[in-house]
Amino acid sequence: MPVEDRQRVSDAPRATDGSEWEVFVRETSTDPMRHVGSVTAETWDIAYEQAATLFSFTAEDLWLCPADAVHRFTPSTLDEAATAAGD
Amino acid sequence: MISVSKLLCGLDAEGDGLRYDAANESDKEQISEKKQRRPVVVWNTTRGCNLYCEHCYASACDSGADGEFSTREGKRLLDDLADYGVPVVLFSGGEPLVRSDLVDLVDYAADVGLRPVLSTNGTLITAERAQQLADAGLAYAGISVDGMAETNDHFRGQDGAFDAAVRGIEHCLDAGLKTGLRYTITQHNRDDLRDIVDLLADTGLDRFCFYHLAYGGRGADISDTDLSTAERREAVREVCDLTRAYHEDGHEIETLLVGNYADAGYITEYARREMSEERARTVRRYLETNGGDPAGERVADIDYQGNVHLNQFWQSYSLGNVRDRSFGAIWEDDSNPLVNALRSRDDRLQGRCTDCQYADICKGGSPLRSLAIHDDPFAPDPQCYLTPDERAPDTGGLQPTNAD
Ligand code: SF4
Repeated sequence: MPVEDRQRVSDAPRATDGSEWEVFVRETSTDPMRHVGSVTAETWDIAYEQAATLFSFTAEDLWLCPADAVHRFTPSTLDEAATAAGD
Repeated sequence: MISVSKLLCGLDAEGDGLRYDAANESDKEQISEKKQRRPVVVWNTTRGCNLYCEHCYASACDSGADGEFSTREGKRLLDDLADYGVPVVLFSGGEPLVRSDLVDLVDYAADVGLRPVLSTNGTLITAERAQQLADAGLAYAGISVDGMAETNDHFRGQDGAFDAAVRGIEHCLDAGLKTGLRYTITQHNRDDLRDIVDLLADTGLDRFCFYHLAYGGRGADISDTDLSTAERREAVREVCDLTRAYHEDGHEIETLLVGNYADAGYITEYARREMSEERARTVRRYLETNGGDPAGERVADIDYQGNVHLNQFWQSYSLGNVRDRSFGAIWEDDSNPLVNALRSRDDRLQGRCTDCQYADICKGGSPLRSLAIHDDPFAPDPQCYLTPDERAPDTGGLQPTNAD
């Protein structure tokens, strides 16, 4: 896909009570790490607890990343405040 | 959602497309099981609310949140939902009427082929606004009242909220809007249940939805006000009894129970005990097409910042955000192991659910409550209130149960 077909999703907050944490799981050691959504929590350890209760039934590895550290580029045009990918 | 009036009194209410099971209960062509039915989508249009209710799942407050959708983004979202074939969009909040563009959004939803319905505390509905909403194509208004005046106003954090909500109901009825009550049953208001039905039935209201407490948002903080097993049995029995009494008097009110699929087993047992074996069989047959708790399957939620949730109460976990990709793409992403597990949860029943004769129509109840209490979404619903004999008459229910 050409670079110009994507736009950068704005940094609008994704949570109001606490922060949003992107969750990644690997089901077996040879599986890829996979994004499985996000949880809302004040701190990483509470986020880990929450993600673990949801995904321990299947996940070996579990990673968390603060959602506001993730820059998202997409062809989706819903976000009114999105900017050109190169800006 | 389980329609008590349909199951016990045979009332075939007008198809408002609101019940998650509506497609399956229709006499019209059945939707094949293989085809994933499109969910009813609850859209929390704003965090802002003029009240501060104890059980609010959206943890609403008096101001909106950063990142809420503009009118134009809202319309793009509605386009997206319509393209995907979502049948119903439920405008919720916070309080959706604090959005000045609500009528515009409802109008747009109807134009693009969605069935717009509303969940509101009713206190901001004036005669003019009710008429505007009706003219815009609103198909239904569900208005929350959680007890008689004193109870409701305490619960909702504002004196006069009850009177304002009742006025809102009257304005909706005057505008010709199909209107119903939403009532979350807790220890605080269980004694008001019959009085509220009597009072509102007198105003002309004929649809009453009783919600079991969901353990999400502020609802989780007040789980200690939830009903005990004995109180829950009594409250559900009261809903059944009053529904039948109204119908016997020729007043065909519609009553529904929402949020706890142990109700399916209880109502079947009630029909057997209080009515006839034949009625119990009919009730069970209807419930077999119903499908148990709808989280992740027949209902979805999009919050005010665009995060997609498994239902409106389960706000702490999100599948993705509609600013990144379309709702349909998020909903149908079959790489998510939790969603896959929820959609085949019959295979994961545990404990007392494993020998329950109603497991096929309950499916273990609410995964959110199980998560809140047992840290495991696939554990039995802590609100299950069936007795061992009701649950597993052949074995006497050897597995532990709340009703023990
Ligand atoms: S035992 Fe489990 S499946 Fe049966 S009614 Fe209770 S929660 Fe539902």
